[in-house]
Amino acid sequence: MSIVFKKGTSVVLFVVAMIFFFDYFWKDPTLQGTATNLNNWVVVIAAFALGLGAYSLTVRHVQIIRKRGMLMPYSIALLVTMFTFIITGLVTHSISSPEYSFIYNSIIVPASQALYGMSSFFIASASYRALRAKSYESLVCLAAAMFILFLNAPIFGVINPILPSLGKIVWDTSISTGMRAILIGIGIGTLTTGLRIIIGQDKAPLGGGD
Amino acid sequence: MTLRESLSQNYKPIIYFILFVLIGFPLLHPLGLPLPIDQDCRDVYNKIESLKAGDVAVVTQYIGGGNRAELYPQYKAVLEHLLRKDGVKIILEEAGTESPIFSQLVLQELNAFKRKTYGVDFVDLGYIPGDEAAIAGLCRDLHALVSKDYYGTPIDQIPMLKDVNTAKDFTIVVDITASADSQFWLNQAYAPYRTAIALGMASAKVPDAYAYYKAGQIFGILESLKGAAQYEFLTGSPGLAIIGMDAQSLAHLYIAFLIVAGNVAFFMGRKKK
Repeated sequence: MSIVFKKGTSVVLFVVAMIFFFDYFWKDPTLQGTATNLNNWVVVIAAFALGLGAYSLTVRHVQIIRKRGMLMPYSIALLVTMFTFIITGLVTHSISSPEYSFIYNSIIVPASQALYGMSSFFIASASYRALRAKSYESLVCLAAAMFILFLNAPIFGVINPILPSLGKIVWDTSISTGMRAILIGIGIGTLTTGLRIIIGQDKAPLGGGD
Repeated sequence: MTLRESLSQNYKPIIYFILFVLIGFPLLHPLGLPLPIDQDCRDVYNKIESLKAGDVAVVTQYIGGGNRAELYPQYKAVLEHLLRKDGVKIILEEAGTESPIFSQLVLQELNAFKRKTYGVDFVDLGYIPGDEAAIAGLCRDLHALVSKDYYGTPIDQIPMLKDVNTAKDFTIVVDITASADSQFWLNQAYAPYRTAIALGMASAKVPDAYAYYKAGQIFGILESLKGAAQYEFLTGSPGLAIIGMDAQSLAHLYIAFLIVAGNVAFFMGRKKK
């Protein structure tokens, strides 16, 4: 049964991939309509996945609470927060209602921003402790970091107009070209993996493989 | 324990305190440091400035609580500019579950409902789940994917969307995000339809976007808070981003100082040994 299921899904995957592939090159109305429908199914499935995610999260954290372990307070906090938002949204029929916005703006936004903002303090401390020119390689990294700082903060341009220009040179040459190489590598990797899945060489996404 | 020994052991609170002062002071008393305008930001401004009546601008965002400080000012500045353009149709779309809150907030703050007519000049499609599939759906056939807008109005009853069907009908797309969905717009709108795309990014994502900008695949970038501040300056509507840039400048200067100080201390310590 399992082999039949895997074979079947492989065939479906191949057919769907071919529909999208040919649709990209041949603008046939029938093919286009089929591809659009298939694409919209993904959006519907993704919407269902949100509900499924909420359900599995609830089941998982109810289990943790039942065990009364060390993580119990966090699980209670998570479930209370999640259901507060869900119930408020359902009762007020909107996520931009004053009640919903009040909870979001007075709890989630300050907490998220505080967490995000704290990283600047760690960066400041780490820049004193960790960014040290212990070798030639680390010196190059350090110099690049300094040049990018020169570029990103206008105050360095006030101190000396040459400083941002140095940053711009590093940005345009090494960072831009390095990122392009990484992106091309990712593109080729994605294409190869995609082809392997489509022709059935890689069965891991279908629940098979080694 | 001498003062020097005490300082060398308990330097972290001192570093934190100085950083706190350097960030806090300019927020309360802006310094008005000069703000050079980057070309990638100016390109976004020029493109939006060149839009004519009847053009369609899609503004999509993935703003959350954590990246609000960097991305929300960009969103607000771009929308302020678009709202000033007569006859330009604005379509808002959100890629994150919490993003619609920021769209509603910006529309209120910019007084959009009084300045323009909803459904004629602008529309909010709300959050569409599905990541790249949602963007692909919008680009392929907007009417087939979205049946109602954020407020529950059927899409077919929205006058400005009558002639907007695929990404071919989008004059520009501005995607404001800290996520990978910027790549999705390139895949689904630029590659098949050659739709003009600009990205507003959080600082960590800017290097990715810059490679596309240099290759001419996107027409501009708003680089984190700096980009937002530059855009506020260009539109002549200074806001929190310009004030925030003073704080960010001082913090960056301080970090540069700490890097130098850390290395001086390191080499002096090595010499002694």
